[in-house]
Amino acid sequence: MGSVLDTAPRLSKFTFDGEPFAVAEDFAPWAALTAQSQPDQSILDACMNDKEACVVPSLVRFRRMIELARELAPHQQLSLVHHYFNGTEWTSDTRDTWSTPYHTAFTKMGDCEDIALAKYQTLRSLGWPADRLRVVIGWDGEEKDWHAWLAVRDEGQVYLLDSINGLQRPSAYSYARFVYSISDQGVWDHAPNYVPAGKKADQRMVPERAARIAATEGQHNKGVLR
Amino acid sequence: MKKAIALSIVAAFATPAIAMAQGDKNSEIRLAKLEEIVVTAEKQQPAGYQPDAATAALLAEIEKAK
Repeated sequence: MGSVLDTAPRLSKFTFDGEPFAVAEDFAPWAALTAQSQPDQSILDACMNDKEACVVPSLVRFRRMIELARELAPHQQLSLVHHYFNGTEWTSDTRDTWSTPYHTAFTKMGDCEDIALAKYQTLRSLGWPADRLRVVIGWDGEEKDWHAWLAVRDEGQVYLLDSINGLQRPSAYSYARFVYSISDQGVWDHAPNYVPAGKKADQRMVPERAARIAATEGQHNKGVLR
Repeated sequence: MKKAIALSIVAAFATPAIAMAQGDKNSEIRLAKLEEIVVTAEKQQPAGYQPDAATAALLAEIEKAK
């Protein structure tokens, strides 16, 4: 069993090639997200149909973002959704619950996979097909932590959307490795020789971050409907 | 003879089914391992970061929504 740095490909080499090895619904975090998405979506739909049903200012702004995005060309849509969710305040969830886009839009709080998932679901709702989007999970060599990106295929190019900065090509991510990716179409195993060693596998978290995570642990459900 | 033919037919159908079941089992094991990865990287947009002008204008309009 090797380290993720030895056994996983560099994120700069990411492509949409290959076949999924499992259906997404068999992956527990995705299944939980899907189950929660149904009741959340009905609240979001009510807000989209009638501004008065948007119970908090953050949802009014989300609604406006969708209105504007619907009028844009796909690449501009991508930029708007990306930057809108990059305005999310970082908070950690060591339970690693994958939040629905409604939850992230409502709280404007979340961590990297919440942001990637919110972009994924929002772009899907704007009509982007699942085969052009993939949530990618990998190791960030700069942060020395597990990270999530959204991979997008647009106009023949692949972009990796981070929770910071603008739209980037995979070549910008030579410092990161990717292990698996997921979409409505399934789960892809990009590093089959890598075996996670357990919870927080490979994580060499700096003490300052560990302290911040402990401090934000209680905040994650603050002001949240569930 | 008939018994041998019947057995070979059963085997022909059973072998892919067993292989498929083994594949499913392997997939389940791999999924369970991947679920052990807990994603917590702290990467937040730096304060003052500005997207392209067109997107920035749209974000400003969104902020005004009430």
